Amino acid sequence: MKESITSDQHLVQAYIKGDHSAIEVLINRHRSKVYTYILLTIKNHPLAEDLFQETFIKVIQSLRAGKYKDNGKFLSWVIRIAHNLIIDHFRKEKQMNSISNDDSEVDLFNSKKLSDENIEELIINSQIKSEIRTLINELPDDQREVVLLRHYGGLSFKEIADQTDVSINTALGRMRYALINLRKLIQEKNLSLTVY
Amino acid sequence: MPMVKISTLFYRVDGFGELDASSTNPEILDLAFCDQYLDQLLTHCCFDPGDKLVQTILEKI
Repeated sequence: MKESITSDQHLVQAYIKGDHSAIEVLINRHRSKVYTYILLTIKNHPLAEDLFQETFIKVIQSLRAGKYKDNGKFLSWVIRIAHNLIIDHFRKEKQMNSISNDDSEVDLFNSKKLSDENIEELIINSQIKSEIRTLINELPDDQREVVLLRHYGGLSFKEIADQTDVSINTALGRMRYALINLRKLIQEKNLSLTVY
Repeated sequence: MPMVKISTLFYRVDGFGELDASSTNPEILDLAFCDQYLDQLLTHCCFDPGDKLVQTILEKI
């Protein structure tokens, strides 16, 4: 199946009709955004891998069960599933009264093809990634949540409001504060986020 | 004195009153600017789970 010219909608329909290769195309198309969303939310690499798997397994189960209502926003739907699984995870963790303090650093060279970039570029890009990740981590949880849902999931503010159980105005307000805080943090840290 | 979330207070920007502005003035947020800003900031912040993890999922289904 040609990935570049086939819409998510067509791939979903193809998978539902029995084309198993379609789901692989869909996963590969969206895997980085979904994984980044999970990782930046939970800040734990091994756990992010587990939740990434759980997310797509749930996606597949839902598709098979006919639970997906196609509105042309497949990625947003996947991100909402990931979001719910993350919430479930923290609920379980809270119940078990255990606090995860594993904030292990992500392998910044994760699956990068070294041959595609020279080492210097790779290091600079990795530093930028790390700095941005730090910025995002410094946002209050509610603001970070809105930023990640909007950017990586492409959710509307109505969808973000529904997903996070707040009003649209509150979601918009949180985003506004997030932008102000990000700009302030960038200035305070005197960061240069240019990719060479 | 009204209650203010500590986490938000910590990040408050000078001259910006949370209690005055929070949810009553959402129109202040320029959505086009917002998305453009996030795109510029986060476009290079992308982590890939790797082929192996995808294959693991595909093997499970």
